[in-house]
Amino acid sequence: MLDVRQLTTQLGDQDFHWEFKLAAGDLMAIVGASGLGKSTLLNVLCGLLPATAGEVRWQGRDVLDQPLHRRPFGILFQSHNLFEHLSVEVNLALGIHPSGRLHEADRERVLTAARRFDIANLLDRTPDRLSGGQQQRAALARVFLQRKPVLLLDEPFSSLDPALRQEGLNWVRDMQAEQGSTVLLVTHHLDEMLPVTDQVLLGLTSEQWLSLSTDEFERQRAQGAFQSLLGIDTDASY
Amino acid sequence: MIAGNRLLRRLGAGLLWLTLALAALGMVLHPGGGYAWASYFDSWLVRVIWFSIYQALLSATLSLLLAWPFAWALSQTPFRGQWLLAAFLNLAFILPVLAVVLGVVSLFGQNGWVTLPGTVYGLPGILLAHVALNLPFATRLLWDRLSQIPDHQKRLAEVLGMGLRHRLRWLEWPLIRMASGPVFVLIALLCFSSFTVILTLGGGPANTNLEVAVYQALKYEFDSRAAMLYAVLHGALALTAIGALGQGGLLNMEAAVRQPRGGQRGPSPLQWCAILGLLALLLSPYAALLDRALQADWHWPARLPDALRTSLGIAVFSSVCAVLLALSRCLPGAVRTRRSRWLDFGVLVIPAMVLTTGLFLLCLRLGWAREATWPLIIWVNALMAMPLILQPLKARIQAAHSQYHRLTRVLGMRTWPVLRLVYWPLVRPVMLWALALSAVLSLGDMGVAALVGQVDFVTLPLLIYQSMGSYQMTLAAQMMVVLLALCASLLLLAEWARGRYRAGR
Repeated sequence: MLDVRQLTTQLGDQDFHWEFKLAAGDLMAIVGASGLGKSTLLNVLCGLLPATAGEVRWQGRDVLDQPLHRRPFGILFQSHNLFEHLSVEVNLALGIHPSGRLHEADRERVLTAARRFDIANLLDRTPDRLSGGQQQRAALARVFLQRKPVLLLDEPFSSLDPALRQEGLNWVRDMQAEQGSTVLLVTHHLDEMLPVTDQVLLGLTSEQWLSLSTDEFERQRAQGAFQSLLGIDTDASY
Repeated sequence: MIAGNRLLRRLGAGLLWLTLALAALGMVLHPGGGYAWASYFDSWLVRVIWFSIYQALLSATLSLLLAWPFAWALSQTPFRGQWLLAAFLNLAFILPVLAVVLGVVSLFGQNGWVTLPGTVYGLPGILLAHVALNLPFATRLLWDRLSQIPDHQKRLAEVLGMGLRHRLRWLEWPLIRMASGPVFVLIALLCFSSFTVILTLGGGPANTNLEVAVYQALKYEFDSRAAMLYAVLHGALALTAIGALGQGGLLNMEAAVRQPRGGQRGPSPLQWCAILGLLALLLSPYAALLDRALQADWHWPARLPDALRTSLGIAVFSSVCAVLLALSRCLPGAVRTRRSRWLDFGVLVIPAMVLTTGLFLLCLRLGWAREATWPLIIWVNALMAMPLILQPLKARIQAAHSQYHRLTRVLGMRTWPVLRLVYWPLVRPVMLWALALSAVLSLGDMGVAALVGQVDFVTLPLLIYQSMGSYQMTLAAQMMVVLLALCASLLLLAEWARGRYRAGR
């Protein structure tokens, strides 16, 4: 269980506040207008931004006092998920050990992950010689190798076309099934995601967030709720 | 990772502060001697100060006036292969000063291609050499600035039917005027701190500047008090000028390193005129030098191998020091403080000879003058080269930092893996260039070696200077060809390595 209690941070003069629970192995979509703090939440969880108050517990243990790379979170950003000057192989290796130096067994793991994500024949290429879909798979393969129980996905597929976005989501679902990962996914394409989503975190303001099960969310939306909130910049990421 | 970066940054900063502090200490503890303080402030000192300023202002004015039309013509439209001209202009700025001096003497001196009404030694020679040295630099900076006129403004000018004259009046002249101020300050400062040109072409005590006065006080009069006084005056005047005129003109080789976008078409007739004119002006001293070198059989003096070894040794060590120092100054991590900015600024503007004088006086005081020759020359040369290579390295490291710092943090990468895997591959293409540039600057240095070196210490530029002093101009020209060939090989090697790296990717 991921338990976020009165988590607070401040950026400039804007306060952010979150509170929700997510069962292990579930997928939660984070939606809301721009500037409410969707990406900020992921950055605070993984430690790139400091929390000013509150608790984040994973399986009962507080993670906020842990150093960034020891937290149970793997994250993918909107862009710059791969080092463009390093080969795909080294990029993947960095998911196993941050020195990039690997033992023979680790190399085997990299190869297995590459096969798993269908990029085994691309290991010696640099990311600038990969297509958008291949880059996405390489980034996912690295997160896969990190073996973090919680995946934070900050619109990593938003710049791709709908077919590739769907493919990316399928890969995430596969990983979820295989590793039992818990997933928090920021998205502007809620309708594409809803079929695979267990829970929705909806930003009303930067300090007010509504956490609902997907069924409850769909029921309320069918009754006309959230229209003004979800209408905002639905296409913003294109 | 941040902590490791900070440590490396502090190490670099610490060395720089230590250098400045030791130089200041050397000034304070200078090994006594000399006359009463008041006796130094005589009419001779006033004349030296006046000449230092006068020749600098005149040189900067002439360089700028000549650079205007060239830069304007070159910037009219981007043309195919303009990177080549830009690279040549950069090269002309970093080649050994003594080569230009010898070129000017070969061109305008006795038996030269051009006969001047008077002698080349004195103010005319100084101005000619300073213009030959700074014209490419001024042209390059102004050209770069003018090339930045946005396309939409050019289109607007076309729509409004502006011809060349009106475009110059409304579009280009305001930019030229704005860019000229800093360029003028910069060139005036470089000429104010000119040593080799004034020493070799000054032609006597009437044409002495403060740097040469320091050298003469230390080398001929053994008057360390006078040397200290002139060096302090020199530093104070340079800092006052920069303080009064602003920091806008500080050397920014990033612009000069950036390759301008070339166009699809060849140069226009106007641009051909500018290119040929510029090449004729800049190449003629070197052509005259080569002509002089070929006038007699090549005989090498016995000390040449020794001088070559020393020059190369200094170049290798000082370029490595310069690159390491520059890297430590551009590592991200700690927020750049006001103090840290002042440090970079100080290293850039305090004339090298002032620093050298302070450090050398300290060594004299401690009785280490002979032992300290190599380390002193290597270190001061590294300090001189560092600001020139800092910007390209910094630009790459900062770009890598802003793109990847989140990723390196979430992956838990520590200092060494980040340096090895993120920064190193990105700075590697410019690393050989930076090493070569620093090495070329050190190879061409004469001032520091002349001031610090003992009688038996000889570098290639010093040997050339000694030949000039004994009127063996042909021999000097021949050795200069060797020095220029060395510099050119180094720069070609760097370009080749950069090209190979690109091709390999």
